Amino acid sequence: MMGRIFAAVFRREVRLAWRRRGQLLQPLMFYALVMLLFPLGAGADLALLGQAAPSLLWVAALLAVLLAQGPLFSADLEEGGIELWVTSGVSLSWLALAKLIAHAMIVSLPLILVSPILAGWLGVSGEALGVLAISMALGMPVLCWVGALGAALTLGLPRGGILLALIVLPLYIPVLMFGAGAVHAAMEGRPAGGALVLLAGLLCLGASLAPLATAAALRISQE
Amino acid sequence: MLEARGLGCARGGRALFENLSFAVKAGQLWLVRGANGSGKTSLLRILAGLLPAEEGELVWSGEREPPLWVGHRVAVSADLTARENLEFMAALEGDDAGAAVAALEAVGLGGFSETRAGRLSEGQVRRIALARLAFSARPLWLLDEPLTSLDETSTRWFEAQLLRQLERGGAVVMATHRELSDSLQGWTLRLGA
Repeated sequence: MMGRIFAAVFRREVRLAWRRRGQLLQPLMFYALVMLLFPLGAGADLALLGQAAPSLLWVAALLAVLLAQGPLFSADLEEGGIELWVTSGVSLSWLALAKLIAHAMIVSLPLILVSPILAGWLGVSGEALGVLAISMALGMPVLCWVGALGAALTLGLPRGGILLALIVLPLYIPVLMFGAGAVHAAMEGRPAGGALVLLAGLLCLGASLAPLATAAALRISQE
Repeated sequence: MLEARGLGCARGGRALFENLSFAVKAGQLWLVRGANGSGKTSLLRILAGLLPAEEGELVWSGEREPPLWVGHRVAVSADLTARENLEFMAALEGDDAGAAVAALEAVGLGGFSETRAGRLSEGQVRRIALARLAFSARPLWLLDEPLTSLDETSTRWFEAQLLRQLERGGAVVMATHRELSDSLQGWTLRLGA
């Protein structure tokens, strides 16, 4: 029963994301444009580009994820979907977990998939590309979940977007540091494992706490 | 089934109702009436557990079972088809997809099951939400203005569902401005009087 409900929420989110795919294109376009324009602005200094690439990739990906958070629950609030969840008698944290996992996949996957291409454009190559993909696969879901919590907390507030960024950005800093740090290390031939393990730890922390916190925030949004 | 003891609610610094006590028993229909802004929706939201009761308490006899809630906002997503919307609602209640398809037929939306809800009229969207009544086994139904923008055929179908729910020992609390047919006798809770 719980598994079927989880699957139903997951399927609904994926379906809605596909129907509203224009919304998904926006963060992806933002990410790609920053990456394509930066080398044009920075000039032909390949050494400089290589130095800046890890942090640049991660900062742009982080801001792209932030862009995708605003509309996460807004349709559900306006159409009454959250009321349905709260009154359904099903654990709200369970529903939130299904939604958050779907959300993380939908937002992160396209960004992770284009990252190696864009990183290649900045002169990142070899093992560092693999580390970049792994660090993003571990870090992006955390960014999505923290962002989703922020979106749930600011739900229904006028100009909630600014507040969302203020709440979320400080919590993004560790992910950014470990993520970009891992890629830096790999580019300089140092072991990147430590930073990746820390990212994996953050992923576990996010997966266990984000659904509970998001559920509580959604409940409050109804009062 | 559910007893309200001394319920009170204030919104925006204004007391909507105070010291409201009533008991909803199995097989009873309660109609919440009152002018706009008299607190009908707030009362129903308190009963549904969406709003905390600021004063008073709700006492459930037996286990507290989740109610069926159809509010002003009917939880129908504009980007999903009628069938997808109803199947999701059925899944949340533990029912299978077949129940949803049959219910859509029952409310006369069989021909629109693959149409996105965003392209349907307001009354049709409300019918998607109310189609839940056809398969819901929940003992308590909480309905906020369910008859808004419903046509006559759908209103009659809706009243038949209410009768069925009452006859099998369920209870209904609904806010409405409309008059129901004579076959439905209910208790009236008048707010703001």
